[in-house]
Amino acid sequence: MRIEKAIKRYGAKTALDVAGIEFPRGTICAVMGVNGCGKTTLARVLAGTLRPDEGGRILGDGESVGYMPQRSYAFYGTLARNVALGAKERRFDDRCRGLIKELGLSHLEREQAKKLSGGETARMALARVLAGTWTHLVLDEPTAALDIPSTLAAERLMRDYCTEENVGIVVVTHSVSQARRLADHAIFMDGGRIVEEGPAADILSHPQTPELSEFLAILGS
Amino acid sequence: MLTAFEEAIALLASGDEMLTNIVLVTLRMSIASSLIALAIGMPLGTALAMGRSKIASALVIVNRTLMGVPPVVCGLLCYLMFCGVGPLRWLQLLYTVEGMVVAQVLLITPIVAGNMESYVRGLVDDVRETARGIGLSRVRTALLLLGECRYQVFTVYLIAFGRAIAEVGAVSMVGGAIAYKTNVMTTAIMMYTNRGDFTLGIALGIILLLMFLTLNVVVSIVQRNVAR
Ligand SMILES: Nc1ncnc2c1ncn2[C@@H]1O[C@H](COP(=O)(O)OP(=O)(O)OP(=O)(O)O)[C@@H](O)[C@H]1O
Ligand SMILES: [Mg+2]
Repeated sequence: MRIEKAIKRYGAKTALDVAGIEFPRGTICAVMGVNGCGKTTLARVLAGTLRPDEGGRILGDGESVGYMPQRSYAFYGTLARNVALGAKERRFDDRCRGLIKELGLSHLEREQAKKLSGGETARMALARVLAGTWTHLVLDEPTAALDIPSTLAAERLMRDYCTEENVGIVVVTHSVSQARRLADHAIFMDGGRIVEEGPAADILSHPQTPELSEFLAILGS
Repeated sequence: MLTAFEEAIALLASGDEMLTNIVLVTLRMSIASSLIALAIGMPLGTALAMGRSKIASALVIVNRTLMGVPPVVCGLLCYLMFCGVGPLRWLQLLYTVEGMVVAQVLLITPIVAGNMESYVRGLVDDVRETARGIGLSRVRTALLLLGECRYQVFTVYLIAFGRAIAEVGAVSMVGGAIAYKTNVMTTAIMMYTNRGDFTLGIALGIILLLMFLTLNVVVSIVQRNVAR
């Protein structure tokens, strides 16, 4: 999966203007930047739910993209039914069962999904998208609502999914420490553009641009 | 006035044959037209909310306009279609309950569709993004979206039935308020009031309110159980 060029405007505002990014299978790419910098817009273009004004994502042969939106939605029915929607044949199989166990949701399997807490709903949405078989995954702030143990469990699952099934994962995050733990590659955005990108360990420790330096300095990390 | 009210209660208690007939015709007509309007209007409204083309937004405006068509205008239109020189006279719908149902469906379907459209619009982005994200087909997404409206369905049905049972203009023009055939509660109330016979009018008014009250109670109980 790659983008040669993608531009999306809302009125006079350019929400996204990026070019020449590649998302290889078997790697995790973190997308970072302040609120409103265009991360979700990029995620939507990659997921194919938003058609940019110019350019767009390019998928290779047999590539498919799963996507978890920033706002997790619970459909009517139980948590199990919701997770099953993401699975092959839409059945609550062993894979689904394993995923909700890893995410600490097993005891909520028969609960009505609409009654779950914010963090529980987000974990359910993550399990739902991980239940599918994709070559690429786009996750928009999957752990923003999660407590620390759940966050670490989610990171473990993403890592395993990436390496075991050779999936390319794009994960939007505000957590620099998460990007350091999880990502191979990092993209830093500002005003719809990619300001800096490179191996996560490198650019998050030795930023080359004033924008990313400033972003990291504020965090005091 | 008070005596008319007392007489009305007595009439209700006696199970008057004419009264019973009017109530039955009303129920048949209202239930049929509201259910048909619901069956057509719900998918229509969902489709209107899902559409993102210019045609879809134009159709939304057309539908909103149809929501405001005065019942007598709709009745007139149906009358002209069904009457002896009308293009649809071969359907033989003039002065029949079926003809009244057709007129009511024409009136109520846009209201059902418009209500669904504005409700679905609030859900459609989240549902579509989520469904697309896990690779669900368009058809499946539409079905899920309909399922997410289960609570709203009841509200919309109440509006549809309320319209159907309370409406006069269209049904009197198409049905002609023929006794023991097409006379419904609203047309009967008008007719008897015009004749100065308030008793039957009041009796019918009471039944009308009680019926709608009962329906509301039933629906709210069902609704609470479905939307858990
Ligand atoms: N549907 C829309 N209509 C108009 N403007 C939009 C729309 N969607 C996004 N924008 C604008 O595009 C810009 C980028 O939005 P985007 O959602 O991609 O930001 P983000 O980086 O994901 O922010 P956050 O960290 O808050 O999630 C914002 O300024 C936003 O106001
Ligand atoms: Mg965002």
